[in-house]
Order: sequence, then structure tokens, then C-alpha cells
Amino acid sequence: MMTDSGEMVLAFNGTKKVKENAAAAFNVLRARGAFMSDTATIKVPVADLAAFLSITEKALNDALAENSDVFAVQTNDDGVAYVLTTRVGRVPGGVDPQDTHSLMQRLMTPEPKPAPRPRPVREVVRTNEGWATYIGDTIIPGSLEDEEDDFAFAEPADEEIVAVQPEAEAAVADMVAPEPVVEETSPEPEVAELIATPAPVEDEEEDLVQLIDAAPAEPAVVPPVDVRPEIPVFEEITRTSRPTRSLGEPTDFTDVPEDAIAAMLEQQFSHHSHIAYFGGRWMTTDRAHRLSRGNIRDIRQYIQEQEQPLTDETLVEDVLRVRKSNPEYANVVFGLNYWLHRERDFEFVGTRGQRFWSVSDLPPLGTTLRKPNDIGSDYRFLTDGVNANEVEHRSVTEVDHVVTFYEWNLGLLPYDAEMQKLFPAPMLPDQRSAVFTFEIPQSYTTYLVELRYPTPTRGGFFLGLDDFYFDSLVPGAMISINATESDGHYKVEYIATNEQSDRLLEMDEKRPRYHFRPTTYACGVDDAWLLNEDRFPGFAGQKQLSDRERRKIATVVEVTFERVGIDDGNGGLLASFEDLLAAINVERPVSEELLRSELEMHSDITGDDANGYTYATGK
Amino acid sequence: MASQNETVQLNEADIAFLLNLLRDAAEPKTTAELVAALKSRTA
Repeated sequence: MMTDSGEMVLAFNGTKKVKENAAAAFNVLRARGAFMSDTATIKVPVADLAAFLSITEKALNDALAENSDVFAVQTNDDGVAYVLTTRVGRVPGGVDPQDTHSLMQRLMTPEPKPAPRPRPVREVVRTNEGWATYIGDTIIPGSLEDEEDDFAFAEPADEEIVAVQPEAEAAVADMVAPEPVVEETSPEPEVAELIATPAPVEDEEEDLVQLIDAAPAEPAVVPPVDVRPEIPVFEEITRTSRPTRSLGEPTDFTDVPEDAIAAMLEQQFSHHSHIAYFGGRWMTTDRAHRLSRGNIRDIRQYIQEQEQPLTDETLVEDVLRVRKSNPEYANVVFGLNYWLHRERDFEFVGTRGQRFWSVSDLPPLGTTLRKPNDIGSDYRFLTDGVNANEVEHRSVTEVDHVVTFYEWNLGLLPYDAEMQKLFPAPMLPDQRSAVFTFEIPQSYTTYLVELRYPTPTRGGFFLGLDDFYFDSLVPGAMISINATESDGHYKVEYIATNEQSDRLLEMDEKRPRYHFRPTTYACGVDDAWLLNEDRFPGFAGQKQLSDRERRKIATVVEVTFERVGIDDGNGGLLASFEDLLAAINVERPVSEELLRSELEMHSDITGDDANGYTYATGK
Repeated sequence: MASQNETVQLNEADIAFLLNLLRDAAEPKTTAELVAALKSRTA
């Protein structure tokens, strides 16, 4: 631990008396700032200090003025004079700010950026420009070996320097260009002399000498030899940015309907090799965001983990990690749709406004009590007499519907003529199904519902409403399906009522028989479709028909008569059309028209809507 | 001029115009936007 003795010896200026006064004043001030830092200002009124030292203010002021490097005098607005100093005997404020530092400054000021490390000089491979501009016939076959050395020693840089300094060109030319020299370059005379020596030669050599002598003499004066190779001059090729061929006049589409132009674009322009087209959106293929194999694998795994189809926007945000605020978001969404459509393992199950993607091994939506193909066969009558091309999809905004027992039991809705007007057509030509979101505002829930589009042999229907029906509705409930701005999202509402209790028809799954069960419900129902024990007691204990029996509409009608008909006193069973329609829709979906047609065609059934229908059982 | 009774066809000039339009676009274009561009070009 360090201690301060409290005494500090300074050399003061002035006379002896002044020095004594200054030293006494400094000691008093230092004692007052005993617990202050060395640079902190010690401030005391001059009058108080003089009184404490028992000297006059004039004597004190003299001592202060004489030692101005130790003391400073400051007068405030009220005219009170203060003497200022520090514990180290310096005038306050005289500290060089560069020598100070603070903890905050040390923490907040970043260290200077280190100087970059010197990068090694990269060796650049240089190519002689004579070689870089090779075109076609410039190099004569066979001459390459002779010119190789010349090219290697060519230094075009010197030539450029000479070219930019015309005044020095002459001098340089004098130095560089050799004078025309007369030299005996022709080796033939020498050879001739050597060969012409008296040395014995053979006949062949003599012939050679004769040939050489007979050869015309080479010119004695040769032009100066330029050591640089000749750089061929090529014609400048000018490329125009536009093809010179005329594209013709643009078509005038002013009077053409927009639908016709849109159809023409999809037919003629969507298959262009540079065009990426999906779901009514267009881009050039080079600008559509590409998916890597890893992206596609991650998307597939994510859909499998979620166990349900997912929209393109969900996949882009959750898998590709691209947010909506990203300027490339729209391009990435489009690219995902465009490239996934070309993948075999992915299936598009969405609409233009809500693009769902599924994978091949995803568990199906909806009921497991009956296979979708069998349900489609049950709804086959919906395709009779319906031309799919004449349906105006999305032409209505609301459809009311009464839920039948068959629909309630399996969580279905029929894709009948009214529904086709409410829902969009398949977006892709080969699209088999589409997933919609059904929002139930009254229960604050949203369900994924799958629409199986009709085929030539099966009718269309919706799957996936099981939970909604079981939780909120009973057979005979009236619902309203409303379109929204998005063609993939719909709102379903039912009529909320006071709670009612009744014994309603249900299927006992343990032993497949019909029975009536006390039920409390709070939804509005159509009494014509309500199946309670008071109305149809004959259903109790009845077995469900087999698939073979169910396929024959006549058989189902006969069984329905047996379940709901009353004895007419003549051995027949009498039932109203209303009862028949509600009861036959327990086993399988039957429309009003289909039932009426069957009643008219059946040989054992007579009657009409007013008097009821009688089925003569043949007893 | 293509009228309602004729079969509408895109010629090379139309395709070049559409390609340039899509190359200059920052985001995907809808069919309605392309139709509007074709109509406004000749209007």
C-alpha cells in the first residue's frame, strides 16, 4: 500500500517572504486536496486562504503572482477571487490531453486497422502480341520453326515509345536502323572456292560444283535486316449490337380481347427456350432463381417433417431463409415454383394465389375410413352431363350447402356444379388435386382441405373436414362457403344456435352398424336432412352395405325403402321423396335428380312426390 | 391489324419485344402485365 507523506517540496520564486507565503499556501491547498487526484483542481477563495495563513491578501496575491506556474487566480461573476492549483504543483488545465486516457475511450475506440500484409507478386504469363492476334492463314505451315526465335525476341514496347516521340524518332532510327551494308552474304562462292581446291573429289561433288557455279549470283547488296517480326495488320471487324435482319412490323393488338392475347401467350410464348413460365407469371430463365440439389433435398425433407403440403412462400422463408423484405424475394419464390415443377418427386397441389407443394410419399389428407378412389366412384354421378370446359370457375362468391350423413361421416364436400363455380380450375393441365385452406371464423381454426379434381370415371370431392364436422356440426347442418380474394383460401360459416339435444344417427365403428346416439349440437340444421331416431327408427342395428351392393343404385334404393318405408297395407312400403333422399345419402351420395331418375326407372316403384313412392317388395 | 375473328399470332417482333420487356424486369411479370404491354405498345 502506498502512502503520501503530505509534504511536497517545490522551488518557489520571489523573495524569501514571498517564498514562505507561497509554500505555506501550497501546503494548505495540498492538504485540502489530500484525497483528490493529481490533476484535479484544488480551489479555495483567496480571502479565506489569506485569513487561514494570517497574512494579508496583498501578500498572498504577491506570492501567487510570483509563482504563476504553480497557482492561478480566477474571479467568478460575483467578484470572488479563487486560487487554483493541483496536488502536483501545477496550474490546473495544463495537462496535455494527448497524455490522458479514459477507460471508456480505451473500450470504445477500435484499434487501428492493421496494415495489409504484402502480397506476393503474381507471375503474369505474357504472350507475344504477334501470337495473340493469330488468325487463319497468317502463319504459313512450315515457316513456324524459322520464325519462332524472331517472335521470342520481339519487343513491341520500344516501338510504341518511338511512336509517341516523333522528334526523337529520327535519332533513334539512326541508332537502331543499320546502314545498308555490302556484304558477301552468299556462301555459295566460298563453297565454290573450297570445292574448287585441287583436293580429289568424287563425281557427285563435281556435279554439285557445276550446279552451284551455274546458279545465278545472289545480289551483293541486301536490305537492312529487321530483327522484329512483321506483325500482320488485320481488318477491323465491327459488330453491330442489333441484327441487321428486319423483324417485321409488330402486331397491332389494340382490338384483340385480353383473354385471347393471354391464351395466345400461354400457347405460343410459354414454351420459348429463354422463358420461364409458371402460374401466370413470366421471367427469363437466366433471371429465375436456381435451386441447388441441396436446396431441393432440404425442401423435400422439410415437407416430410411437417407431414402436410406447404406453400412456396413458407418454403422460401423456412428452408431457403429468404425474407419478404429481401428485394430478391419475388424472384426466389418464382424460381422455386419453376424448378420444383420440373422435379419428378414434387407435386404441385396449389392454386394461382396459394401455391402448395407436396411430395410423393406424404400421408394423404382426410379420412382413412374409405379410399379416395372409392369415394370418387361414389361421386361419379357428378360428372354426368357436365362439360368441364363450360364451367365458369370463380364466377360465384358464396355457396350454401347442407351436409349429408355420408359427407359428415367421411369429412367430405361434393365438387358439384355449384362448387365448380366457386372454386378455381386446376392451374396445371395435369393437376390431379389442389389443397385449399378453409377458415372457420366461429371456431378460430383453419383446416387444410384437399380437392380431388374429377376424372372421366370419378367425381370430384373435398377431403379433410372430418374434425370440423365432428366438433361443430351434425348431419343436416347448413353451412356457407365464401370465397376470399385468394383463390386458395375460403371461409366456412354455419348457423350458430342454442344447444339442442336429440338422438342422431351414427355409425358404430366397433361393430359396423347404425345406431342412434344422444347428441347435443348448436348449429342450424335443415330438418329435411336431420336423421334422428324419431324419424328413421328403422336404421337402428342395420348393417352398412357392402361396396358391391352400394355400387348398384337400385339396390341402395330398395334397401332405403326397407329402412324408412312404412307399410301401405298392400304389401308395399311407402316413403316420401324427402325421406328417401335423406336416407339414401347415408350409404352413398345421391343427388335429387339421380334419385328421381331411379325412382322413375325402377319397375317395382310407383308414386310421385305429392303422394309418396311405394316400393312393392313382392311379398 | 389482328382482329377478333382472326387467329392471333405472335411474330418475331412481338417475341423480341416481350423478351426485352422480361429481361429489363426486376420481378416476374404476370400475364395481365404482358397483355397490357402488348396493347399499350401498339396503342
